[in-house]
Amino acid sequence: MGENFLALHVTSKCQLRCKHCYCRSYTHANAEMPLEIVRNLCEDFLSTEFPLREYGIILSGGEPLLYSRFEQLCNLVREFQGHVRLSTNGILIPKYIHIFERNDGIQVSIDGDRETHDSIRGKGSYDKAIKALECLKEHGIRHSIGFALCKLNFHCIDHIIELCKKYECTMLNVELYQPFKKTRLTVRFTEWLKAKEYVSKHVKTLVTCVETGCVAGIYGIAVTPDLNYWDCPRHQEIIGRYPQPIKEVLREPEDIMNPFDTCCKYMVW
Amino acid sequence: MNVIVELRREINKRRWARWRARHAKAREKPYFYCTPPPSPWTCAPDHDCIPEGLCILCANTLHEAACESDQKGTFLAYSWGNVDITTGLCPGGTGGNCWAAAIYTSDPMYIPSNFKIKAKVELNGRCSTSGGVKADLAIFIEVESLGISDKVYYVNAAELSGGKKEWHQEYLNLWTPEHTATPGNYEIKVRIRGQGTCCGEGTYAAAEFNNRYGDGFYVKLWDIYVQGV
Repeated sequence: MGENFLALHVTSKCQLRCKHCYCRSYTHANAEMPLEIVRNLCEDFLSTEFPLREYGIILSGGEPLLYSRFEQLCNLVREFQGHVRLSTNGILIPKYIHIFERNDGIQVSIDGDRETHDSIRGKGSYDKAIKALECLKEHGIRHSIGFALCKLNFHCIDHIIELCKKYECTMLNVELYQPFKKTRLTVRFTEWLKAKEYVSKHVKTLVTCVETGCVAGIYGIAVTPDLNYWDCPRHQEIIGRYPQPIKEVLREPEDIMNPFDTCCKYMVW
Repeated sequence: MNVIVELRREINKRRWARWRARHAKAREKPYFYCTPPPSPWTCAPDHDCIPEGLCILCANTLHEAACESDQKGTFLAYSWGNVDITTGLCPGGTGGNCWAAAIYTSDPMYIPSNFKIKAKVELNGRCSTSGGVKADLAIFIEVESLGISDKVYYVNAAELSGGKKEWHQEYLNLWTPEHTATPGNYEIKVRIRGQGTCCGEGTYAAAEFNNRYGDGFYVKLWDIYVQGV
């Protein structure tokens, strides 16, 4: 299972300042990717030969729903892959619910119970994320929860599982919080694995590249709002810059890497 | 300090490589009430695709079922199965029947005494018919060893004949009725079958399961789930 990915960080704007956010390294605080460039990147991506059959375009940010022409952005992405997939803090989901379709894939980030989530993401953000889940469930739009596991929310795993069941999420994406330097927030890699195994007994989870081998810059790339090409949103090595053709910056397929060489290099086993 | 950091990283890399080798198989262990481990698709044989009757010119019957495989030829789970069918009818022929199916077989999953099974299936493709051919698409959830074969999704010939039906990233959550069984581990099959039937009238007729790009009718199994009731 797997797909070639194009992660489009369409805007650097966000309403929140999360403690573990990995997107604070953009050059410009309010950069936004022009629609025409989104179109060019999608075309380039879909015409580039990758090792896998399936292609996935994922919208991210910042907060993608803060993109100034969000509806047009969704329409554009639908032209290429028929549906929209994005990761959101959920705040603007009720406002834009009419834009989404049943087969879209909306991942709402929730990092614990109310107290924990708000301590990581800001006061009041938990209730807004829950409202987003309610809204998505009510409208029958495919949705999931993204849960970035760290020391601050390790005790909230059962709460997140319950949310997943209550709001009929298609899966729970237990993300590994991967730091860019040594930090006390990170759980050990083996703790994360155990947590993920536990979660997978209750709800559907994803098999991640951290488990199968790092494919940064092999199966896809991420593009920042200021138009740099990252090999992966987590590793963030700059491998090129728009309008360079994607095929020119990709690594060879046989280069699948050990994640402790890339995004996990600051993690403790 | 850098030497220590490098050394630690090197140790972690080796630990990960060892862990990966050890868990490549173990992680595929099934959990009760959860998604089963990856198992191969198989593709149905084509022995039913034989034109019937006296039609000498029935050369136009094509059928194919294919499953995505790796370079060693092992079929991949959670990947695409391809049900690719074209049935043709020669002038004045008496008809024929052609089907192809992608079949997913799980590793043994625990089934309790009272249960029902859910399969989540994605369909990508369309069926078009012309000249009076009838076609249908059916999805079965089967536990062969228990004698269960539930047809959980069926688009009948009348709905498909003479027109087009398209499934574009169509996700189907399909449930069997409730069953009883002796608790134990059983293989579960999900069979996705497309069928075209020529009825022998008209000058040319065809039923085609294909997608908008003309490279197949793709089906994917996302999940099998056993629920005790």
